[in-house]
Amino acid sequence: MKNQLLILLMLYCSHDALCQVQVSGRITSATDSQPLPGVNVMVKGTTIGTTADSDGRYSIQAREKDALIFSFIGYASQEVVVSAMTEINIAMAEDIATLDEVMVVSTGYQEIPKERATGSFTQVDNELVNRRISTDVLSRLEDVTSGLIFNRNVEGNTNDISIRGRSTIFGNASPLIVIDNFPYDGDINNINPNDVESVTVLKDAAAASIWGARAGNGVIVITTKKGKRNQAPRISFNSNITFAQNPDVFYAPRMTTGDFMDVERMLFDKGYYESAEVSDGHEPLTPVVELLIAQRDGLIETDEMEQQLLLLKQNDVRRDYEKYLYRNAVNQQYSISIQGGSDSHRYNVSTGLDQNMQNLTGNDFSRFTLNANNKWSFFSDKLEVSAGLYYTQSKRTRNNDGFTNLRFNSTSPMYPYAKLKDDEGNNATVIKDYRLGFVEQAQANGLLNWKYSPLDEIDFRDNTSGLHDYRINTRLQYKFNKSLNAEVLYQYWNSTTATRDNQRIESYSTRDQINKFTQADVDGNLTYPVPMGGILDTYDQRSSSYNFRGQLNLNHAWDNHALSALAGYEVKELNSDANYYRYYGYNDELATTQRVDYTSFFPAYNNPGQYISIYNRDGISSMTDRFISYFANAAYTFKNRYTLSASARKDQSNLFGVKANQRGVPLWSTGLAWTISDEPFYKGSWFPYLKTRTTFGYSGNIDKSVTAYTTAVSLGYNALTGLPYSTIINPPNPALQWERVKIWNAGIDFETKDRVLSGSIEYYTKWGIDLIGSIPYPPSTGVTVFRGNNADTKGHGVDLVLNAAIINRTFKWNTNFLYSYLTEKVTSYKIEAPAVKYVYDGSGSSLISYPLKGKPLFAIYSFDWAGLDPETGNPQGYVDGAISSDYATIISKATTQSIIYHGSARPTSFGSIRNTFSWKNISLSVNVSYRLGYYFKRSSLRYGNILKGQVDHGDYAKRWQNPGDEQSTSVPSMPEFIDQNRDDFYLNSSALVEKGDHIRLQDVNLTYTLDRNQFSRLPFSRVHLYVYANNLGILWKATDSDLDPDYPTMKPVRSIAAGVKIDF
Amino acid sequence: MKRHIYTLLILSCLIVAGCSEDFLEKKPDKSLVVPTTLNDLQALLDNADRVMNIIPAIGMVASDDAFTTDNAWQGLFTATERNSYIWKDNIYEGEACGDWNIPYQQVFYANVVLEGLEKMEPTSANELQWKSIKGSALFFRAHAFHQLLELFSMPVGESSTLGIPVRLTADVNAEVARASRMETLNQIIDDLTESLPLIPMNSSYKTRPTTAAAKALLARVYLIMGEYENAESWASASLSENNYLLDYNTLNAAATRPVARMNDEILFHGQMITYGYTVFSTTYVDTVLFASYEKDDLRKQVFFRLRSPNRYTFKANYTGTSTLFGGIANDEVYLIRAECRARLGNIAGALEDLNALLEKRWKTGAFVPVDETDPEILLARILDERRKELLFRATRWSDLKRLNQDERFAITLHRTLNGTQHSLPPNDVRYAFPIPDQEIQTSGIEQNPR
Repeated sequence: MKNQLLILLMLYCSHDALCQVQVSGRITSATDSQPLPGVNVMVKGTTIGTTADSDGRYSIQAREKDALIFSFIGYASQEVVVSAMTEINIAMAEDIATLDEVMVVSTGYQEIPKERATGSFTQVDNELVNRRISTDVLSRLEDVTSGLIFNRNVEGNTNDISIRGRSTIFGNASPLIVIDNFPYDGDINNINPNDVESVTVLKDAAAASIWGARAGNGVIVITTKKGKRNQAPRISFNSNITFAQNPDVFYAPRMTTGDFMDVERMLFDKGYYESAEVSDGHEPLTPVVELLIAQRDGLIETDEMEQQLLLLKQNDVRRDYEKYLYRNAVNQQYSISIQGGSDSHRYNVSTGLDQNMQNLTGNDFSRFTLNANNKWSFFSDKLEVSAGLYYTQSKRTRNNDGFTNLRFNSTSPMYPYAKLKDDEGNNATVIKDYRLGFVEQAQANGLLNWKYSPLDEIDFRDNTSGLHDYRINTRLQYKFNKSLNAEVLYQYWNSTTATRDNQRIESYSTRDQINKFTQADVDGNLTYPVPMGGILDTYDQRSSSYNFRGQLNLNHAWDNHALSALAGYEVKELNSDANYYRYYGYNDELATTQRVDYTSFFPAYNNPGQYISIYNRDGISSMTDRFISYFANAAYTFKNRYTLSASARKDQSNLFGVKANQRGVPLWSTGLAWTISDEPFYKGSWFPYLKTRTTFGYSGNIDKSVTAYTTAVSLGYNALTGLPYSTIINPPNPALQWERVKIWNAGIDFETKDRVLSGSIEYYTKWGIDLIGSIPYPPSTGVTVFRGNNADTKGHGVDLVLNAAIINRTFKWNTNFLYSYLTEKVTSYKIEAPAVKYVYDGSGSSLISYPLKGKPLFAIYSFDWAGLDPETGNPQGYVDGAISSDYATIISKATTQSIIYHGSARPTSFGSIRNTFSWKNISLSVNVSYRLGYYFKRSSLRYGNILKGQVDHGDYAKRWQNPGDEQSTSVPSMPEFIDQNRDDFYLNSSALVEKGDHIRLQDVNLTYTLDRNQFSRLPFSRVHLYVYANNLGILWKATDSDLDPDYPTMKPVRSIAAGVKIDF
Repeated sequence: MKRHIYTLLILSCLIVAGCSEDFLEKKPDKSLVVPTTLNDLQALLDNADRVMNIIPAIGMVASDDAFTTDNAWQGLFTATERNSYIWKDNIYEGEACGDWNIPYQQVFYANVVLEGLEKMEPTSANELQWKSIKGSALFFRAHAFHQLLELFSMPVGESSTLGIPVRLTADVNAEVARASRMETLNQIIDDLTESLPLIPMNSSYKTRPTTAAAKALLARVYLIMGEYENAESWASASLSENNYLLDYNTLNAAATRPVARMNDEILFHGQMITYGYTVFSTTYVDTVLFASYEKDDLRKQVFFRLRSPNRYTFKANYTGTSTLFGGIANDEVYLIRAECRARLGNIAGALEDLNALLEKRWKTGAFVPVDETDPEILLARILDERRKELLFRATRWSDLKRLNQDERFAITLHRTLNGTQHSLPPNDVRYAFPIPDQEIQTSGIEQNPR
């Protein structure tokens, strides 16, 4: 038996050996005939394989009739059948399609084949970048980038992006934005999205740590378009026009005109306006109150008053806002580019123009960009020189501040029955700042007209800012040999913004200044400390930066090994200077100004008991940021299956008042990747491609607002004394350290057969260490808040990307599913603040929050709600478990145990489902986004405002009025007196907390493509016609409230765009 | 070629390494300073209207100079003032308390300055400035301690009575417990005595201390301590440097603000923290107090403005604005000396001081000098005049605490609000305001009993 077996085995072996051949050869690139190292050579259907050495040579054992597969990233794979020939030389052709695909990721320091990457990268390719139509680049990343979210709970901050949550409390929370190798210091809105080739988002330590101390919030690497070698000139033209709806000014609920007038009458009857009537400052009174006074004083009959009131009651100032302050926005975009290259020269030149007519009448934006870059090769590719210029010029006109700035006086919004146009259609005046009688008397006394017409203001203002921004890039790369090259990069950036706000003498703000300071002597002669003429404010900002980088790159492959390493250093300086000047008595015709006396105090004309001095707005600031960094990065790949990566970086900065040895922070990371599907033992036929990877490391963040020494800031000259004075902004903190973020990331990349399903799933844990936090301090120390390394956080999350080719015939249906889950909590915070601080500020919307240990950085807390008192309609809470209406006690006795924690104020799960259907030349892409697992606090009314005669929230109509109402409403009854605690309790009670979860139909893109291959008479090689609709609406939300959870004050406007892109 | 590039690389490496120390020394923001020069330190002390010349105001809110209506009380800005007005047990309801925080900020600034001065030796060229800054810092620190003590400590001078944390270092991490009232007073006196030879006699700026102001403050402190000889002699020392009084006959009584800011009667400018109560036109002068001014007393016109029947507001702030004055002026120094002299039996001296003041306050020709010789009656009269002269300043709360020690002058305060009676009997524990919530929560110092 044993013998038989042995014979069989020998037979088998010898038979096999008979047909074995040793195949060898040399692999070159088809483009330049240069050897290609690192190419994979596999015997088809077996696990036998090898890699080409540094000369492109390979050698492999195969049998006759076997097929050899040659594959390499960026090149088209080739299959060659082994014949009697033992030498097979291969010229590999570049595969532009694959190169353009998601195969290479850019870190700003190097391009890494995605196959060998250990870290977490998300790439947004050119098609995806162009899917959305917008003036800016960043918004195009929303809902197509895994793990990236735009935070909406901070009002007024449109570009507040988080990548995998927030890793800092008070430090800079924005991701680092890198454009063409260097961080971009300007406004990202200066970049024309048409110039962007692709965007790579670096999410974990291994991906980002090459950026060191500024990578803690993630890095967004933007690559602009470049010419390619041996490419015929390609001209491309793109143009589109976007129409956006008039915003909904009725969206935020407001009291009706009638309700407000009733409140005014009630307050009038209580004598509320009596003090304003005799006030020193001639406080303004609304037309309704003036009518009530006139009737009381017998100046008009009751009938006439009622009639007039009835007329006013029909007004709603929001109708006028909608008609006269807003319009449909129209944005036009044009861009044209040409790119190409010869054997030794590559180029890309593009230019773009954007013309935006914004929603607010009188506000416009235009932008012109010019982008030119060239790359030359010398000495048979030994030396490469690149030079790029990117120039942006933009102009913004802002003559309309919107209705929230159209106010009755500094404390009250405009009364709801104001009219912006009179019955004849002329611009009407409204009451503002002073009483009508006083204003008219002043004019009779020789002062300037003191009335205010909101619509005239837009015409009388001339507020523009112009920007010039340019970047010059140069790069020199010298290849010592195949493996080693050195490069030197330099970038100079310069940006100037000149803002000029000419408030002509016709404008209210200027007339008001002149009148307030007008001095009348006993004979009624007038003198004008603020001279007759316009007021011109100028604000000039000049920023410039230079970056210098020297870097050595090593790329070496031998046998089964490949090593890729780089090391270098970097110097950076960023200077920002700004100055602010105000010119009084400005004459725009002659460009003359007049001098004023800033030091004297003048009795105000409207209130002679008040002494005021002329506002000196002149100021100057000068900032400098400097960095010196050293970095190194290496990746070693064995058999194209195993990759080990490591990187280290040290950053030093001119942090103020920090001891020299604390100026720098060393950061490092390491990672491992394993392509399981390449293993001989791998049999998983479900996933022909399967790769796992894991990384661990540190990145950092800087908070330049804190220093180690007692730091004062000079405040200029004191208004009281005229002496220079300064204030202490920072008590000494000798223990100050840099913030660090530690990240562990593990991921799996997979593909099913024919890529029907592909994607990745990643899990990460993130620790924020020594985060700068504010803690309340004993005020007897002289500081009430102390900023230092007071906090640690820990978070973990999942990023899932699934791409499915559901139908792949003539009709194609692709689905891209993004899901991100993240939860983060504060693991230590030195001091617990009083519980009310969390209730009021815990959501982070005011950015003064004190995080609570064990809870997310931004969370929604509230006072427990016990409903309305059925007898009185008073809101009720709890004190020591018992129902109570003692609001002062509820608030002051609240503990972190007694307040209710609802959950995170930011979505804990979010993502999108993008379905793309294409049939022949038509492609339709629909993106549905979702945000889940978070809460928001709905706004409601504050009786403190209503009882001061200010128009307030529309919940007023739902207030408790009669016993029984408590069944159907949670809006408290109107109290007799202002009770701030009652308002504070109600507005922060759980009655107003809502779930934020929602699903939104974000946008739809429909593209029709005409190709010369199909339509031979087409004068162009290709034409895309597209239509894009954005902000289409909410499909589902958890809350019953009418509010959009992400846009509580102003709904995003719907827009539709149409455009054409022509490739000549 | 290769060699050139290597050389270049190495050279640039060396350049960077060589200059990196200086390169990173650059200030990130030009307006930032680590206060090290004398001018830097002076600039801190000159932070007048935000920090150094700000005076607490809750004592004024709680005292009996003024009252407000039920309606207006509801509309006051803060719980702190609403509760102070009716002497509630819980005052702050979690609000930050500037009346505590700002004086301690003054102490902090003073300590930063004093420690900054220690690090630089005065030279013959800057010795005067060095001394003046040091003296000023000591004055500001003493002044802040004094303000705090009056609000947050009981007036009884037993050794066990708690004072306030006497913080003598700029180190914010140093833990400092409450000193006794006596220790606090001793520190105030030490600081002022030390400051006297250092600060200048005159200054062009009323926001900066002078020797006359420091002596007046010493007189004020000794008066509170009941050391009338000392108070009398420091008041004399102050008046011998500056005894100017405004003649109210020269003022325009009809003006909205008849008294000018930084006028010559002022020794040290101080302005009170703005509460709704201190600036609202619904904060009326106590009706009994108003009725006590006689017809020819110019103060009746200069001080008050009729708002509605029998409702007067106070308009003669020595700040020239609606902000209440809380600094030191010569009228107070005259009254301190008059009171001390009366208490010490120097009737002639007391009368001389009282008449010197009143003469400037009465209509020319109409004033009949006081000639009361009964020490009891004279003292009562002087205290009356003190009340009528120093209303709406920061002194009344302190006077109430001090005079309540003496049965002859002890009074119970009453308020009626929304139909409820509130009262504050003499020497009630509520004469010491509770230490603000944040202080108790973060430093754990001992709270005042309520």
